[in-house]
Amino acid sequence: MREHLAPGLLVDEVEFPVEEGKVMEFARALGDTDLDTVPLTFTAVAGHWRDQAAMVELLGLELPRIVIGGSEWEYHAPVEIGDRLRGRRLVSTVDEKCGARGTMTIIALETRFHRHDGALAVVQRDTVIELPG
Amino acid sequence: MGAFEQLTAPITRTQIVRFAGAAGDFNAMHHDEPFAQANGQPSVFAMGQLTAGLLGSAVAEWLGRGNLAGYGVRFKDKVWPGDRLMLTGRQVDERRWDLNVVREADDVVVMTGWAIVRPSQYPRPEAASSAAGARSSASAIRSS
Repeated sequence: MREHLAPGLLVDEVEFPVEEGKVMEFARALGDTDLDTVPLTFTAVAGHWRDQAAMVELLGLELPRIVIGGSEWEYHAPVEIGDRLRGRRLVSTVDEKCGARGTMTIIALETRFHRHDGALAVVQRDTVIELPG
Repeated sequence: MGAFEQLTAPITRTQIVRFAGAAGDFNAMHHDEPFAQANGQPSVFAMGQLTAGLLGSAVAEWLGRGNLAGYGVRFKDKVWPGDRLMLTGRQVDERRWDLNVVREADDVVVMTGWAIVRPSQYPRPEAASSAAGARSSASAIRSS
């Protein structure tokens, strides 16, 4: 059922503007008083351009068993208001751990966000865990 | 070695909803109390990305947004409305900081993390000429 779930699988592709209003909204939600600088975790706004239910279905996971283990960001070229970012989310690793309660699946996803001029700006990695059923 | 700490205001449902709109995370567990309770939770709870963002804001203030080469978090426990979070950062070597988020009420670790600053923050005196270049590129990032 999950033969397709392997490193290199393309999960989705997004492109979005880094807008002043969105940066302000995101910063204010964090209580951040710096409303002009793109926050460290701003690529989370890609959620607006993604279909998470489709991601779960594509990966062949059961939504109620999914937890997010963690996220990390690598910063390369700077991102400013007015830029556009585009990124392809790929499966980078898939691990299964068998325990007394069943099999736990750990999937690492990586999105490399490039600016419109092609420069690599941010690499985001997320760990998706499907708990034993 | 440096250290920072900061206590957040109590997390509110309004803040969770505001972040849902900001980030585009409309998982009903985070904003629909009857839905969350029907699914076995006492109330809505914060999305991990909200806690990651709160700590990220603090880290950017502590270390300088443009100085950061990397930032990462591991989610350990749920964050509930009313929780006040103690954010701490402790420098472990020249470039690396270990980060921790603890719920003030019961001292439970809800998130751990790390931050890595750019090497250009620490130009070696013997490499003065290349350090000058590194400094100007760091300030260009900061001014963005």
